[in-house]
Amino acid sequence: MSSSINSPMSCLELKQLRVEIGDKIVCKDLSLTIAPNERWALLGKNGVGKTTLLHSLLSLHKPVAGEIRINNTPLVNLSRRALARTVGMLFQEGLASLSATVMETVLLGRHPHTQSLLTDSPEDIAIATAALESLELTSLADRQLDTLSGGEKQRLALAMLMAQTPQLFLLDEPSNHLDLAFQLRLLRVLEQRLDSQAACLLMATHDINLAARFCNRFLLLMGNGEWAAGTRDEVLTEARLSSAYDCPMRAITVDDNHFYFPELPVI
Amino acid sequence: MVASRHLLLFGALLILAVASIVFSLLSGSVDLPLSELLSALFHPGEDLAGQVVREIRVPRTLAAFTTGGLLALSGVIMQVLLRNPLADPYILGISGGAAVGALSAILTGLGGWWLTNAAFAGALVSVLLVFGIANRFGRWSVTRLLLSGVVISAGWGAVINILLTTSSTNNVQSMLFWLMGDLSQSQVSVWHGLLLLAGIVIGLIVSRSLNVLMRGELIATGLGVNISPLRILLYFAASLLTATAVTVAGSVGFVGLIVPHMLRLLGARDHRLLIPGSVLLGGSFLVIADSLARTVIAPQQLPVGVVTAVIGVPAFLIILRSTIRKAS
Repeated sequence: MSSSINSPMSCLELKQLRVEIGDKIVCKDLSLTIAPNERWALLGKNGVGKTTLLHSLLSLHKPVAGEIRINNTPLVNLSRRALARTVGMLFQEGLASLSATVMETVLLGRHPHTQSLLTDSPEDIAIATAALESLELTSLADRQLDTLSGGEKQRLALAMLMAQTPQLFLLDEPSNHLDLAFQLRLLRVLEQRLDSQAACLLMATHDINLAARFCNRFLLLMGNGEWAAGTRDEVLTEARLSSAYDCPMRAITVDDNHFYFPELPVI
Repeated sequence: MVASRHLLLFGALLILAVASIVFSLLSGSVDLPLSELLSALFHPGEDLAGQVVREIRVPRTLAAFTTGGLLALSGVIMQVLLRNPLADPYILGISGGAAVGALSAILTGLGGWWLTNAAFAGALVSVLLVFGIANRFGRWSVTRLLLSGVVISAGWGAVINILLTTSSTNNVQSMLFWLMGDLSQSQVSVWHGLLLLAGIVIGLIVSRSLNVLMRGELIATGLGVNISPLRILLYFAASLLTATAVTVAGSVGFVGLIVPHMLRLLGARDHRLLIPGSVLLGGSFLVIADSLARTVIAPQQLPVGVVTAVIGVPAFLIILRSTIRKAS
């Protein structure tokens, strides 16, 4: 108990983290804490290392220095299975087309929790069914994967992640293939999940506007190992964004909504 | 709903296995009605029928079933390990290594125990060679494993051709039989059965992880599967199963490639069903093929590896056609 009094409750804590890939520095001395119910956006230009940083949080990429703690436990002390029960990731690669039904696929999300060797427990089936329901895939439950559209597959990947019931959601470009209405619906589904289970979220995205609308914390990778983290007003400034994206950026506010866009070049 | 369909398929496979074994025990140069077969099996006497059944047909049928089961199980595992639908038990060069061992034994006039062990030793050399090359630079990628296997296979192929072209006609005949797969000299012991059983048990224990691994490395890792040790387990398990099958019956083709696909087309995509199902279907398939191999041009025998393709190709196409029609 004493540790939870001393350190604030956190899903994820990074201490002096340094991540590199090849000869590129993704981040150096990165320290931040993601608390329950917080929704973090991970922003930065192409190739800056957003995916690599997310992979580091899932032990798929080894940081050069620093510490990652999940629920106050060092990441290196967690088994793969224990980690998968707490941290779930939506991969940018999406689902491979192979011969399997939607229901079979979403049930795989329960893999880190399954106890029985051969049978699917009624509880797992119920959770998987609810996950399909929440992404409006119920009518497709018996469909083959290779008959789905890109958007339907992305929703299925998200349903799988919902079925995994992680406490920390890592999302790599979650809005890929999703139309605008579904992007908003997805964010609502995630919001409900975070609220009901005191979970937290970190999503890498190119869509600054979607991030600004949905997230309440921002981590901006500048491209040289430097970074900025904090609230919208602290991070999403015209100067910071212009520097991070290598092009002049403008910010405007319409009806209390904040929008960011590149300044049109003068021809 | 899915579970009951799975049980139905498994039940059908069990019935097929029993039927194929009875069919095999009834086929042969001596005509036996079913009643005589049963009395020969359960009331052993000194009559000729009893001897034929117990000393010739039962051992051969068991050899066929075990070999078919080993190959189909190995095929399932290789297809997950390499995430490649064209993977079969021989793709990583195990049969090539075994063939070089066996052919060398035939060439030097050694048979029986020597031939079996030379084949097994050859397979083992190949398994370790491919593993060593694929593992050489630390990271174990599926592509590297596949390429190492295919290259080593090609190397063995060249050695086999050298052995074939430089051997006397007599030897070439028995070499070709061995290469095509042949059960006429085969003997299985209780150890082969236990190995197959162990393969099924291990396969079932990791079957859920296999379902996840099929979806790709990242997804499997994200769902808590420790893929490196799992892959090494799969590699050595499949290799041991194949090496054992090859030493029993030579390189019987087709079973390990086609049986898993047949089952997937019939709806058994889940490895919890695919693993035991493949053993049953692979066993039944080879038992039927072998019964035909020793009866169609009796008293001469065909190598069973030829028959597996002759009945396997149309069987596979029929299933493929019917499932495509059902889907559209």
